[in-house]
This record gives sequence, structure tokens and C-alpha cells, in this order.
Amino acid sequence: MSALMTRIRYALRSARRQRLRTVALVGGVALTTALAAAIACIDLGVRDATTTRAGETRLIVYRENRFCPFASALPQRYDRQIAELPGVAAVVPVKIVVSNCRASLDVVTFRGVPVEDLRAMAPRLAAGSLDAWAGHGNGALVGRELAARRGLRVGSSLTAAGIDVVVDGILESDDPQWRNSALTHLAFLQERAARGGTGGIVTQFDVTVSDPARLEEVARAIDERFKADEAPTATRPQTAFVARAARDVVALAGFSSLIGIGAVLAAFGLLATTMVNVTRHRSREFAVLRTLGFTDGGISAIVLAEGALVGAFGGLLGAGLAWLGLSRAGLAFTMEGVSITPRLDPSIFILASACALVAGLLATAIPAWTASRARLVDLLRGAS
Amino acid sequence: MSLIECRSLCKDYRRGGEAVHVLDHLDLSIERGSYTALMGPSGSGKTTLLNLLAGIDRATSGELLVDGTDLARLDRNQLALWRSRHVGYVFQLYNLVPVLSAYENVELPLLLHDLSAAERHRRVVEALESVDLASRHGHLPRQLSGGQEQRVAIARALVTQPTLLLADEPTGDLDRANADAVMDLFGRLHRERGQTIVMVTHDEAIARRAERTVRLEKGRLASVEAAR
Repeated sequence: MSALMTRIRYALRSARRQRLRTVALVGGVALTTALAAAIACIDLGVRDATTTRAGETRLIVYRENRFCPFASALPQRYDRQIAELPGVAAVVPVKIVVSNCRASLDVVTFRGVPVEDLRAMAPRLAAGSLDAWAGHGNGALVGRELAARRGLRVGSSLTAAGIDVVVDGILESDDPQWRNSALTHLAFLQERAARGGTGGIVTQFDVTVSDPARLEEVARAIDERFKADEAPTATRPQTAFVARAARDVVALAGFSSLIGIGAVLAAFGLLATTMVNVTRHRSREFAVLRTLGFTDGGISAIVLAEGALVGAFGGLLGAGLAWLGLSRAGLAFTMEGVSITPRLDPSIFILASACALVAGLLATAIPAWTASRARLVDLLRGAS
Repeated sequence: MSLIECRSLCKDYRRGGEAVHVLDHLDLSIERGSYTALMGPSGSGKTTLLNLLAGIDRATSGELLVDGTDLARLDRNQLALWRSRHVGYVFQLYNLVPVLSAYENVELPLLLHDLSAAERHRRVVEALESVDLASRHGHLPRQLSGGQEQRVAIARALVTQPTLLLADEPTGDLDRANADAVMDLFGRLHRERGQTIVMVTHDEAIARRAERTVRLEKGRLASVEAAR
């Protein structure tokens, strides 16, 4: 048996017999890792949704000086005029109705789109059928995360914001806005939202440009076109639009990152303090081990192995809990009709586990050194 | 040939800025296979001498040879390895590792030796049988009586088949019956295995169980008496 395995085996035995201490330490590391991983996933989601990328082609046309779907009203006829502008590849008029305009974790966002436009987009469905939705006036294609959050399946009913729909399909998409929306027929939503009034009013236009390099140019052209019209527009790249609309969520995510870093540091401090105390409490045990012939390095290795085991188990457990929790919860931060969802990137969970392991080692580095350097005869005076 | 040779051995401590000569030019030889009791008043240097013999502490000056090895020439880690091969140490307060079973405590020093699992198991069982505790192998120290704990500690000291068995007041925390049982065990080890034993004790009756008694006073050799 290698010397290292001997130390690990001893550390395992010790950890197994000190169940309460081990469970408390592993639990603390697990919770901290879970928190850190969850915050990192949210942060990644925020970046995904709000960072403008080089290949971006999507513009959102909104009513100028309006910041909520309830307030943004644009004539649907603008779609033809936008489509005529140079550089525009596609225009989709969208009516948005939300159950709550403020920041919330469980907002139902209805997005009314023309049937033919959605067909042209060829959306991916995890369940159900596009044809069934197309032939069903009050049908809805529900985004995967909204469906998970509300426990919806094909055939389920969904009622929110005074609107009743029947689920005809579960939508898969790379776009978090779609994963957290219920897509309905535009006319249906216009009619329901207007409460018996006329249609012809949409919340926004989703515009696709033919060349990413022309994104800003097209945005300026659209706003210029309607500058003197009855409903002036404000056009932004989708990521910039999300960043503006969800600014409070972005600020909260930033603040939660700070809290997360603080929690990780506090947990590390507690772990280190606990390991210092544990090691001090075990000075007699280490004196005995050294009397038996364990070397300085051997004693250090035992302390480090215990820290590494606590870090490794806690890290894996925490990463697993975070993964499970985030994937099951269907968490989405929604504000003013735009949603930001955590991105469950496997590298975050691997990194979080590795950090927990390193933290376990670092937390025990000084106790390990102290335990190995103490004068044996002094330790034994206290032991005998 | 002597197993242990102390020549002009000195050990000084500083206490409150003042040098204390715990061992003062001590000359002593201990034969291989002998059974020696170290006696003397508190502060006479008994435990210090035992610690020097075990390589737990270092002499300030003088020469200490154990089985031909000059301990002063070994560094901390070399001393640790040397201890693991040559010394079995029995403490007054047993000092079993509380989270390990009797079996695991006895197995502990063997983890430092290059032995197969089967050989380790054989030796642990043999050591526990030699102290009549084979049936208690799964018990944790807190589940054992003081006498049983001390016997497990002796098994732990013996399991590596050390050159030298050192015991610091091994019966100091035991009642008379348990003390007698431990002394019977030491006597048997000495007679049957030829184990070299050096034991510190305050108890004259316990000391009489050894072959000879070495008395220290103020760090110097006061007398050497053979058992009557």
C-alpha cells in the first residue's frame, strides 16, 4: 500500500467515525458550493442575455419612451414599412401580455405571433404539434422552462393575466425569451388583451437583419422612419433591449454575485477556523502518531487528506444539488416581459467542485503545517 | 553487547531564562533482552531519558547509541522512521486514537511498514491475542476498561516487533489488579520473547518485577540494583 493511500485511509476512517463533525463540514461546503454554482449559472445567464455578440442579427422595435409591455403600443401596419427598409430580412409583429410587469420569478409571458411567421421560423417542439396549434385559436406553444415551472403538458390549460389557453406543444429554444413564454396566435392575444376592442396593435417587432454588420444602421433607419409618426419607436439589438428591460434583474444578479462571493469567503473562513480548531484538538492524537513513526509529511498528509475529502465530497454534493435544483426549478427572472434564465454549463459545476477541493486543501494547509511542526516532546507532555 | 549506550548524556531546558540540567552527564548501558525499571523522584530525568531513548527528544550533548545507531545523527523524519522500526512506546494514559477500533489502533503502526494486508491482519490478530483481547477487536477505546485500553496500547507497541519496548508509568493509571495483569504481560514478553523493556515507574512493587532498577537523582545515575 502506498504511503499516500495509508494517509487517505486514515483520514477516511477518522472522518467516518467523527460523523457529526464530518457531516457538518461536508454540508457547509456543499451548501456553499451549491450557492456559488447557482450564482455563477445566473451570472452566465445574464451575460448570455445581455452581452452583444458579433454575429447578432435580431433587433427589437419598441415604442419610444415605454418600458413595459402594457405601455408599448405600436401599429401592426409598421411591419410592412419596416420590411421595406434595406438590410431587413424578416419582421415579426409580437403582442406581449404578462401576468406581472415587475421583477418576479414566476411570470407568465404570452407572446402573440402570426401563424405564418412562426411556421417560417420552424420552431423545435419537445412535444405536441405546430399544426395542432395553427388550427387551434386559443392554442399555445409553451416554452420548456415555463412548462416545467407550471407543470404543463400538451392538453393542459393555462390561465394567467385573464387569458385562457390550451397547451398544444412544448417549445424548445436557445432563446430564453421563448423558453419562458407561451406563444399564441397574434389575433387571439390582441383580441383578449384589448378586452373586446380592436386589434391591429402590437407590443413590439422582432426584426432580423440580413447582415450583422448592419445591425445599428438598420436600427437607426427604423427609428428615423417612424420619428414623425403617431408612435415613434426605439430600436435596439435584442441583447441591449434585454439588458435595458431587465436592468433591475441584472443589478440584482450583480449584487447576488457579491453576496455569493462573500458567502464563499465566509464559508472558507469558517472551514479554515474549524480545521484549525480540530487540528489543535487532535494534537494529542498527532503526537501519538508521530511517536508511532509517522513523519512530519505523513501528519501533514493526513490533515490535508481530511480537508481534501471534505472539499471533494462537499463540492460534488453541492454541485449536484445546484444542478438538480436549477434544472428542476425552471428558474427565470422575468421583468417587463423579458426573461433571464440561469445557464447550466457543465464547466461551472466541474469548476465549483474543483474550487471546493482546493478550498478544502487551502483551509487545512496551515493546520497541516502547524501539526507537523509542533515539537513532539511538548505535545506528549500534554498527552501523558 | 549493550543495546543502549548513554555516554555523558546531557539534556538542558530553559525555564524562565534559567538553564535546568534535567540529565547531567549520564552514563548508562542497557543490555539487549534486559528488563529495566527507571525510578527516581519527580524531576530526576526519568521520562526525559525515556524520551531520548525513543528519539522523541534530543540530547543537548553526549552520545546516545541505540542498537548501534547514533540518534543525534538522524533528522526528524529519519528519527520517525527509526522509531517505527525499533521502538514500541506505551504511555501512562494509553493514548489510543479514540476514533479507531482496538484492531485499527493496533494496525496503525503497521501501516508504515511494507506489508501485505494478510500479513498485517495476521500480526494484529497475534498481538491482540497476546494481550487476551482478540474478542474485543471491534471495540472503540471508550468501550474498553482502563486495563483493556492499556493492553491494546501494549499490543500496538508490540505489533511491529520492536527492538525496544519503552513504557512511561504504564500502570500509573490502573488499579492493582490491572497493574498486575500488565506487569504479568511484560514479564511474559521478557521471558518468552526476550523483549528488551525499559519502564519508568514510581511504584517500588512494580519496579521489583523488572530484572534491575536504575535510580536517577537530579539527572545523574544514583544506583543500579538487581532484582532480589
